[in-house]
Amino acid sequence: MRKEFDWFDKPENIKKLKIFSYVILALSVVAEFFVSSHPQHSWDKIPGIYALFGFITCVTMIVVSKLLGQYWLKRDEKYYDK
Amino acid sequence: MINSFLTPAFIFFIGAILLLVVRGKAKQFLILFIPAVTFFYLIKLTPEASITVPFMQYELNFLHVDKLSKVFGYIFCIAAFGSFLFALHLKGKLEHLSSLVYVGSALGVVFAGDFLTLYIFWEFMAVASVMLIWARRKEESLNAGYRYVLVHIVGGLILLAGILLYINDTGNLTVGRIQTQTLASWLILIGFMLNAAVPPLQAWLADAYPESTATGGVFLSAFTTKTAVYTLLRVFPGWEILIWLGALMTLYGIIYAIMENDCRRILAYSIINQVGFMVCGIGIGTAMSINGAAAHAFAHIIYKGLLWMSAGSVLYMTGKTKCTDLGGLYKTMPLTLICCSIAAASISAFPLTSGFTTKAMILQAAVDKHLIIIYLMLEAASAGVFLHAGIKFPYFVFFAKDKGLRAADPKMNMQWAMVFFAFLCIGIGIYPEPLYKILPYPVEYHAYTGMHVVRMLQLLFFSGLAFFVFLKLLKRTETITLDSDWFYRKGSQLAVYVFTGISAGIASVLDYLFIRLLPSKLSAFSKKPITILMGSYGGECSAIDDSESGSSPETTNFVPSGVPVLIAVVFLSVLAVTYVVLF
Repeated sequence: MRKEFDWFDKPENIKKLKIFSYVILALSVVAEFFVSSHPQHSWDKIPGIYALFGFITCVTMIVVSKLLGQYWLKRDEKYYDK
Repeated sequence: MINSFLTPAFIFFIGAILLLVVRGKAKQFLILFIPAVTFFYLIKLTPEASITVPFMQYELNFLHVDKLSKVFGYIFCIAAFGSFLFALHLKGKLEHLSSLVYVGSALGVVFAGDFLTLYIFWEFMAVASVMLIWARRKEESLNAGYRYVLVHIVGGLILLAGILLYINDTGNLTVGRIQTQTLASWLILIGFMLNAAVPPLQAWLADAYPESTATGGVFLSAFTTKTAVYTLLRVFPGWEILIWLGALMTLYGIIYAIMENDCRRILAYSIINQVGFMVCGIGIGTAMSINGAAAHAFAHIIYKGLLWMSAGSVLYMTGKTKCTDLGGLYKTMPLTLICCSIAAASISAFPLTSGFTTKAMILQAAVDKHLIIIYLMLEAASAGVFLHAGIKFPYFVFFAKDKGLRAADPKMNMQWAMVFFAFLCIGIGIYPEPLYKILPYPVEYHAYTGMHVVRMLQLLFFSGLAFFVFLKLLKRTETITLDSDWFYRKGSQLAVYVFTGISAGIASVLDYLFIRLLPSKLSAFSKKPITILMGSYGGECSAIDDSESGSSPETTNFVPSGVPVLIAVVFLSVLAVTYVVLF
């Protein structure tokens, strides 16, 4: 039997992937200095503002849905059968 | 007047009739041929084409052609072709039949020139599409299908009420832009919004679509909501309320998708999120935003279809849809993973994919109109899309913890369908000009500016970072999430309780009145009417009891003879007065 592809299961590969991802993250912020800018908003001049915005909004959304789920909306799968 | 022979809807209906008599390879050929031939027929259609039929003092128009209806016509044919290819292997005819009628009706709505035709096809859609849910033959599907069809019938009736009032107010049947805010226009808007899944009228979508068959979900994801987007685009562009509802929809879809465990339910909430962008664009109402909404609907139908195909493939091969049951499938389903990732990148609007070239037009329109809060909401939602549909869905299904499932890629026809849609996702991303050309308004728009690309990448990469940093908070739980369908699912139980309580109460009161009290009184009255009437008259009358009923109390008791006469006189005079008044 052909050996199955399990690249993502190996810890050393995950480590490589992590380093690669951090490089990509850094590059995306650095790249901003090399493209011509036509600011549309006042905040457009702050470097990396979209990275910050993306991170903060996603964390907010994760926390909000976690709280909503935990204290209000998540129910047992048989909830409607009762 | 008939300038054309066929409407696109009737081509599909003819296909549905032909389907009944063909089998095997001919059946497979037919279901691919119908959308293909309709597509080429649409290319030839010009705005002069129309099919009008007189109806009372009005005129029904089955074929109204302009650029807007053609964009939706094209994409519906493409979606139908891809979805039928995905479902090609199905043995029975029921699903194909209902799909043909469903797509045909959606095209019927798109090309309807008058509100009555639109309404008829609108209801057809609901009835035909529910078969794609029931065909799964599970109890949950059956129940969800009932709820789905009931909700849509209620929505349809609200729409019909609006249409009838509108015709009554204006004497006009033509489907066109409505600007005045009347009861009629609000009812029509509510009818449309229900099908577009605008909160709080959205719960039917995440309730019903995930209960559909593996192939039916692909059809469902494309037509009902996008038909509603089309009608909103045609009738309500520029209605400010849609800006806010659309922006809220985008965020609402994300919050729910993050909470969900069932992967097809995640995709259902992500439809709500994406339609939110379109609804918002419709509300903004400028040429740019309308083009953006139409283009985004076009791109969305393809990548969302592809996402439903990959989830459908997983369901088809493993029988599972819950994230808690799935994981590690990248090892054995590589093609499904690649196609799913392309769709996930497209929905997240990564550069070089279709979402990037279409969604940006709506955001640009918000900036142009100085709607800063809306712009920020949409930008936040764009980040969140990557979070739930872009990473969460592929990550928990194909990576995460290996659950020991060793399902292979699905059947060849399913793989081809996924590859076809994946090519379209990238094609529109790299070369969007042909799509821009068929949009309703001529607009110059260039998605690929250096700044736009870099900012989008920053936004998405750092959303991804947030996902992995907070992965613990996103741990899947075996739960469902309450939504506004609670009101009619739990509410219906409450209603049953209340109404059975009330009806039981009424029944016992009626039972006491008419079965026990009244007959006994009447029988007593018939035996000794005078005595009963005189009951309050004197002590000697009330002293009579039933044990003496064998004797005749009338003869033994004193009764003032004038009283019955008085009663008779009063009764007769009332009768006389009534007659005089009536005749």
